[in-house]
Amino acid sequence: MIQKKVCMIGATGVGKTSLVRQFVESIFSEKYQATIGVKVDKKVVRVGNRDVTMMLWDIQGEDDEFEIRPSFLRGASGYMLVVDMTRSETLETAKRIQLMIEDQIGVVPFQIIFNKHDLKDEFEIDDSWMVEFAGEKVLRTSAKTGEGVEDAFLGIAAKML
Amino acid sequence: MSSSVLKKENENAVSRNDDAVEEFSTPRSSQNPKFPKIREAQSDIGELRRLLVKPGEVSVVLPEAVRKSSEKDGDLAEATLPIVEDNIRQSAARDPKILAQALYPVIGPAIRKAISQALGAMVQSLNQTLEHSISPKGISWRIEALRTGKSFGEIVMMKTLLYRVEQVFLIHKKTGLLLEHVTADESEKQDADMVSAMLTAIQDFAQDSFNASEDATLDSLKIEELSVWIEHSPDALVAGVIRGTPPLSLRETFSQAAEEIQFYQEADLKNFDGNADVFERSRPVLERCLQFQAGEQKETSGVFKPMNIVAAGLLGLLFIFGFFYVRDYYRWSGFVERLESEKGILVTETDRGFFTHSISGLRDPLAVDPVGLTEEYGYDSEDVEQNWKTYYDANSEFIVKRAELLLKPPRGVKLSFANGVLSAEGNAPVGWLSDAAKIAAALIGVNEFRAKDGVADGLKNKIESTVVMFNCNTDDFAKDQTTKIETLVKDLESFAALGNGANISVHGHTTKIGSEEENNSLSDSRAEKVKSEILGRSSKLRDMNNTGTVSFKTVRIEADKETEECAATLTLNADSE
Repeated sequence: MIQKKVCMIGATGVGKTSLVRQFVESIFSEKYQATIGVKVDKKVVRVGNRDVTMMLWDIQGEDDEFEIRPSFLRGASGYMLVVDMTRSETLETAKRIQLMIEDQIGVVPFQIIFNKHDLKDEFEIDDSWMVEFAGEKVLRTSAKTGEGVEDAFLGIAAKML
Repeated sequence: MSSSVLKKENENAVSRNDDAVEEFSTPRSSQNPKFPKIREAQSDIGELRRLLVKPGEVSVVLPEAVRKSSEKDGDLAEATLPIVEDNIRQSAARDPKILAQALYPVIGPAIRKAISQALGAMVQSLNQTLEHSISPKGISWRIEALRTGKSFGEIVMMKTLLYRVEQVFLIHKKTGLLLEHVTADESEKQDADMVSAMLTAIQDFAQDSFNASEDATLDSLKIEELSVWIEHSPDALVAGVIRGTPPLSLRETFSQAAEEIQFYQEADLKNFDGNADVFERSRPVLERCLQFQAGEQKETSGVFKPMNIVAAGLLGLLFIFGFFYVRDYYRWSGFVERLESEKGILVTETDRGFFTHSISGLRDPLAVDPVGLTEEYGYDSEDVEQNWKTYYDANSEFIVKRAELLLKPPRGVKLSFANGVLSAEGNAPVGWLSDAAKIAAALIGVNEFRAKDGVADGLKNKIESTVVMFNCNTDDFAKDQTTKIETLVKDLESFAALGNGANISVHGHTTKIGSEEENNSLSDSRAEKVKSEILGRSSKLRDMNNTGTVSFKTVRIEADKETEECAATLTLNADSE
């Protein structure tokens, strides 16, 4: 069986832990619990005719007081860059983080995710901004409803193989 | 062309060139350029130049030249030393990992050896530290050290090393992904992927949190009795989950495993792309790490271990002690109960000691002898300290016994006691009865002495046979009647003292001479005279007469042939009226 290390990256509070929880356990909780350091989860997915064990490193979100530790990124085969659609500053953070990642571990497969798609009234990010950052194929998810979550993780799994 | 042939040719070429150079370098040759040898030398020089300018040819000649130079002297080594040193310095400065990886197989064992020596010193130090320990466990270990000939430190280390390696993980250092996993007990298998990733994450977190260098590694974790020992090789981690207290030598086992896997699968580790199948090869190496030590149980076997013998001995002693303790408990209880049930003995205090016992109380002199009883219950007389104080038991049995001792009743007389009255039954001499009545009054518990029917018969007969003589025709006592009257009074006192009560009839007798009227009067007068004389002589009888215990009655006896005399007689009746 193939194993791959995948890092969940993004600003603090964008929903990285919720996405992992929705993907691994199909559970969503409104209660916010900040991740300290890193939390590791595992999910076996099938891509084509191969089973892939995804080791999901849910890394503490970046904010003014905390910068992502490069050591957590070491050896990652791919990463999910999560943006909160209701907070425009998280897009900027994502851009900055991506540059840092490429500097630290080089270019590896990644998936940009625009999360919290269920909060339509609170969007702060235009579609054009999303396209500008992620390309034409923008992936919108909701950890709450589960929308797009499976696709996002399967997408990165496929890219890594 | 084969390398040996080429080598030969080169040797010849070098040899020729040596000669040519020698000849060419002579002044004579240089001064005569037209000389044929010079042309030959010039040709050789040309050949030599050709060899030197072609790198390929030089590479062929150079190893041999270096070898010859090394054999000749150390000039070459000396000449190249600065270059080699400089190369190493530059390599280390550019990327220390390359040098570290190259030296790892050499440095690893060297470090282990150094650590082993340091540990040896530590054991020595521990030995000295524990030299003065006086705990019971320490003492038992010390005894074992003496018994087995091992040092005390070794014994301490051995006793404290009880452990089991439950799981061993082989983890890819860069990605934190699990490469291989072995367990001692399949049922305890956990999610090894998660454990593996989290161990790596913890290490990264620790390194970042404390700003440690990348070379600073997390070597162990401890959660209660579980330890996780981690050994690092350049590309992998070997992590063992250990329950208990493992010996430091186990770390060496882990370290060797890490080195071995690094050595044999370095390429696999470096090219790891997520497929861990190739690391199944490392399972035997990891399984060697699944060690355990059962400590003392493993060291000795069989039932005749010294500790077992000591324990059995102690148990035996305990059993024997228990047997004697219980036996003594029942013996002593029986002895005390027996004494408590004995009449005339009152137990006030007992003490059952380890070796001697003591008992105190009150004892009637007539009660059973307790000293004699001790032997009956299996004690020697000196085993039991006895302290008895004398008392007189008011129990009827003891009163009777005491009365028998003091009154010494004659044969046929039986004493009994009830309600404060000591009674005598049977035929007794008059003298004994009167003495007994006096002595009995002094006996403890005796309020009254009584002679039952028949006992006072002798006295009664004596009194009733007494005849007090009068002068004829008068109521004057005849001559020498005083003694007789005194005896009569004493006998009456004794009779009355027996407590039977007495109705005394005094009979007045006359002759037939004279008128009947005169005789009747004389009879009354004589009886009255005797009564008065008796009461006049005895205050006791007077008192008894006053209280009604004794009553007097005068009886007129008409003269007839049989009783005709000048006298008075008495009859007694013990029954109260």
